[in-house]
Amino acid sequence: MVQIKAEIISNSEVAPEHFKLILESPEIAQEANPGQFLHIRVHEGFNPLLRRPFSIYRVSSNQIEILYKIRGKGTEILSGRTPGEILDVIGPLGKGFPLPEQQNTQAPVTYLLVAGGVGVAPLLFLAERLREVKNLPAESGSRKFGKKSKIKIILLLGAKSKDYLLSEKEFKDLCDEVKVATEDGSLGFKGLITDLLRDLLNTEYSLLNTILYAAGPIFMLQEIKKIANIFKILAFGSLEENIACGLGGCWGCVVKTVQGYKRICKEGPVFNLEEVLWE
Amino acid sequence: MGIDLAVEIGNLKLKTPVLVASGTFGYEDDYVELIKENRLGALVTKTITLKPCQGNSPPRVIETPSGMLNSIGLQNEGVEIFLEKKLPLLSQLQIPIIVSIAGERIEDYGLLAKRLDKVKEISALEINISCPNIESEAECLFAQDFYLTYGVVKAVRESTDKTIIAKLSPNVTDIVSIAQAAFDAGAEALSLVNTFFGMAIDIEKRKSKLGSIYGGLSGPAIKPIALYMVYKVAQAVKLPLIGMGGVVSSQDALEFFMAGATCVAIGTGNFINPRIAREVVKGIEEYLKKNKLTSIKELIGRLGN
Repeated sequence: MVQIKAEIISNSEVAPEHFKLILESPEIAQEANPGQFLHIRVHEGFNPLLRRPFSIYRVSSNQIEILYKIRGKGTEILSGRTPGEILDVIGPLGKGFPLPEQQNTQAPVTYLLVAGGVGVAPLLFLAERLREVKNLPAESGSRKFGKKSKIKIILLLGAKSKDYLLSEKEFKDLCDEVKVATEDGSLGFKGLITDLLRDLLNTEYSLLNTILYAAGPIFMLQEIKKIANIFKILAFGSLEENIACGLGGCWGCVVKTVQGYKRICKEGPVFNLEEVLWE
Repeated sequence: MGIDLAVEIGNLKLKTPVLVASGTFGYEDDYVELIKENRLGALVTKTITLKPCQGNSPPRVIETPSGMLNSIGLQNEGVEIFLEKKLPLLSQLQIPIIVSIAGERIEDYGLLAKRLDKVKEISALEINISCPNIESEAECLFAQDFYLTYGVVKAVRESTDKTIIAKLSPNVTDIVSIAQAAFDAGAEALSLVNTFFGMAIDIEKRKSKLGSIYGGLSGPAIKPIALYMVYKVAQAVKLPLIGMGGVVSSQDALEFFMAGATCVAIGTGNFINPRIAREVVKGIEEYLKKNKLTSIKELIGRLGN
């Protein structure tokens, strides 16, 4: 984790109210893992006062990207910042998605990624890493995840309408399957992404060795927790909360879990949804 | 000529007059690394209690114009875990560690002070009688009542030889009388001020934005009121004061010194920038240099009019 002054390389609108910001920061790019976040000071002033947390969307060797939605004053100010300007950034922060080699359980074969709205952000980075694992030649990597392994990466992508679908093309390059759900039915399945998930689990997908990774609005994660429980699959979700310090100091961003209140910025933002007890 | 930033709080000698306020920094290695170069005069720990405390329901933090409401509820693992796991890490900073303590009953404060009295890594105790987010045996905050303030500070005074600092609440009619009570009971310094009671409401849900309905307001929004309270107490009570409430720049810190504070503590400012203290210290030095002063003491309580 570092605190740095990062130069804005680009900051452009990718869908209505949604922006992609690219920052120059080799230090953070090399250290980051999927599911971790950046804590960004959007301006020099004091109103709004606090930094804003953003999941990491993508990294390259020197650059780091976030994808964000304009939600209030902070993100609105951020969307007006221009290339060449400098942002004060802390990161990478938090604990990300557990990746295959960190799994203690039996080797999983299907990774089911469920992205609602701007929830695609941490999942694209995750899909990239999973793809790397999948592509590992058998001799250099772990045998379990070699070319001959049956790793399958499936993405369910949800949005309110097709105009709001994010990163569909990027995911198609990485995933074995991409399925779309729109609330208005303008593309793919008509309805909520969680309804699509339930249908697929009931009909098509083998539930053996499936790990689900989710990011999106809280009602989506709450529904996924229920679904994962019914179908007995391991599900990890990236949680959101107002985050003040981002460094585990203030205990402001907690969620209730089976082991008491845990900090979203430190023990999370990714949690095993089975452990989360929403009130 | 060198600039002398050293100040004293009771028996405590501080190299700089800039502290970290209670509850506003992390205990992890990487955080300690981040603030190592901050030139802090001392660090005040997150408040600890005798037994572990689970804290309040989320949401616990809400941003307001130039400020922040919190209702953390003193979540902590209790004094024993603190001593075993957190204190060793903080000691690496090699600056005085002031431990903030709180309890539900007057006796709790005495017991905590006794437990910490012989711990050599601890330089002083800050008595938090003003947290707006916990229940106590009193019907108000201890710091809202002259007699309760006296009682708690006295209980701590009788249980330790360490320097003791009382942290007062701004949510009172007359802060000077409470400050006087703390002084009479043996406090060697006062921290002024804790957060102001506050609320924010979600009009769509018609619910308070905080899980526990109300909380404490901090940040630049409260600075003028905190400054006024430091000024009033400085006029009446002859104790060193630790001024706090919205310090985010050296300008803010200098205002507190001039109002009568011996040092300042940065709280919410650490969330905006964990390295803010070093900028504040640097700014104070530059101001002293520019005004041809050699010691910070030449500014404390020096208002021209």
